[in-house]
Amino acid sequence: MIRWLVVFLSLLAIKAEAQDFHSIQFVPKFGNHHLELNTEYTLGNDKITFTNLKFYIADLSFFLKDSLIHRPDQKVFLIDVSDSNSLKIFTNTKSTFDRITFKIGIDSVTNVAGALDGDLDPVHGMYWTWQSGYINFKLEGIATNCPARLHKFYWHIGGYLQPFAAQRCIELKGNFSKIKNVNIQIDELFKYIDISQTYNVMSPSVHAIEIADRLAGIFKITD
Amino acid sequence: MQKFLVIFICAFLMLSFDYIASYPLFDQPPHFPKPIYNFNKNPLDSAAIELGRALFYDPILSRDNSISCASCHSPFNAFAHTDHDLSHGIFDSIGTRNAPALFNLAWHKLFMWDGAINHLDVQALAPITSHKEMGSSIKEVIEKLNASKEYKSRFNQVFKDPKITSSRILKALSQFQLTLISAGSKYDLVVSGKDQFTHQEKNGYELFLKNCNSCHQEPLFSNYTIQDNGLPLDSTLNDLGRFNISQVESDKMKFKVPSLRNLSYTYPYMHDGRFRSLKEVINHYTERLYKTPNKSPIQDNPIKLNSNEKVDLIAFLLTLNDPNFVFDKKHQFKKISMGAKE
Ligand code: HEC
Ligand code: HEC
Repeated sequence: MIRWLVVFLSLLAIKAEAQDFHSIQFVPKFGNHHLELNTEYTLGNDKITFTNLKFYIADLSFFLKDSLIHRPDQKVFLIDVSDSNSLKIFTNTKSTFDRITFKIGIDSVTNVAGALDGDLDPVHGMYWTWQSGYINFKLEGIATNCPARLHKFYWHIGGYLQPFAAQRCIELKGNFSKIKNVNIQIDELFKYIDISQTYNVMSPSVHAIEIADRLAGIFKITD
Repeated sequence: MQKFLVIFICAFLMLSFDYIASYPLFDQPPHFPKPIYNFNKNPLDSAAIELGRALFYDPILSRDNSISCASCHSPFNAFAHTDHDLSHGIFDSIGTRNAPALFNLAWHKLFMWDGAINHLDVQALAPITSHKEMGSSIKEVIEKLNASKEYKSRFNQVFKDPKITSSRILKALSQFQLTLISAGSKYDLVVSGKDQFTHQEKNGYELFLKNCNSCHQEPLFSNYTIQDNGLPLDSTLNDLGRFNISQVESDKMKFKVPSLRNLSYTYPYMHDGRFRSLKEVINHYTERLYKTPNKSPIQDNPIKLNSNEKVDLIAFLLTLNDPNFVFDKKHQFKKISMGAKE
């Protein structure tokens, strides 16, 4: 009986402590606005609505003064803006850190590993079926300046073979409090990528690389 | 120290059990190299093989329940699609390529004519999803299988858990396909000393070794790499092969080398089924070789055969037919599923 009480109490303690663990909260943004799917945003003379934003992050690591202090057991996380739970990643570390690193997308070893489960299950629509490989970053929507049918654009960024290997490393430095917001500044992409030219990217290619090279710049830390 | 020894012995025992558990169902032909497929991640199991066989023959995998894998990969054609140059899929649509024969898949490094697929376990996603093949999606397939009592109980039997997931479906399909081993041709009997080539076949074999073996390497009769064999582009299809995947200029018109086993069952030949007979194929190699910009190795060393030699070479190629494999009942359709309509 007493033993159960101890177990129960320690569980309570764990639960209370859980709130002290660090977590990362991804916040999709367009300019100063919180980005919501199926909502119209204005950029210059363009009106843009996003219908889908999903991406993989891998090898999330926390550092303090250049030494690794934490790396979650789960190697890959699927971040899906339509699923708010996926935007928050919990850790089991409480120590402070001054730098986080992660990768956008899936490495080549995982890309040739066959049928996988969990966040890497092809049911999530992040796997190319006619040509093996994960989609690292998927952004879809409607932009008035996009010349395609119904103004729809598709940015499916992926590829694991050179010269079109699209996984990119992200490094964020700063003063970290317990819950860290990482903004995803989607408007940044549109500063460099011309939607009237680049609107149908659905395979590993120079266009995919052009967008992949911009991904590091869209992740920003705020306090 | 002793502790380490114990751990070491345990690990060794576990590994060897693993080996024993996964290999008896895989009929490794003694004269074949080691397979490339990693069986440790999907150990063969007779119930899983049977589940894979049921799925392979079940049109439930297509959107309107009309097309199964076997619609294009028929057991009686060494799992190719005879008589159709281009494959026929859902709603009578016509694909852009000839359905290849399926056997000895455990030795392939890449799949599809252009090597677009990098692992057997993910291959089935392509036909299931293709609008010109089965026109469905893996999500829809999971829903349909979940609605079938029969499949639910079979998945439970195989995975000790009734959950139907994409990886379970895909791995079961792989299991069945991995058992499609063709190693019982006259050539194989000759190699193992149980038969002898005729004089003509022996001559053909020598011509083969000299002219063809660099790509169609024995005993699999393919090195399963991507090569240019000098075919001109068919401008109605505009299929540039590996280039479509890599976008590397020198990959234009490169295709995966097919095995030369079971040719009598798998005509027409080449990625687009452009040749209907072996004679046409041989004449392509000896006379009509197109000058591709790639400098294919065969262009530097043209293949020269007189008419007798051509006949001998074909006689040898016919010793690669494996009727034991093609007519093996254990690879054929067996009615099990509720999902399939007869
Ligand atoms: C509509 C006809 C069609 C259907 C249905 C079909 N296939 Fe295929 N299959 C093809 C064609 C055509 C190719 C070659 C595709 C390419 O090169 O792009 C192919 C290629 C393959 C390969 C690669 C073989 C190699 O040597 O690279 C495998 C394995 C395979 N199919 C298995 C299956 C399975 C399993 C199914 C059922 C889930 C299936 N196929 C359904 C037509 C079909
Ligand atoms: C440089 C490598 C190479 C050499 C040498 C070569 N082939 Fe091929 N062979 C290929 C490739 C690649 C294909 C598939 C081409 C395609 O479909 O576009 C092929 C296809 C074939 C096919 C069609 C098989 C099928 O299932 O569709 C036959 C038959 C064949 N070769 C026979 C031969 C013979 C006989 C020789 C020797 C005289 C030979 N090949 C030499 C690379 C080669």
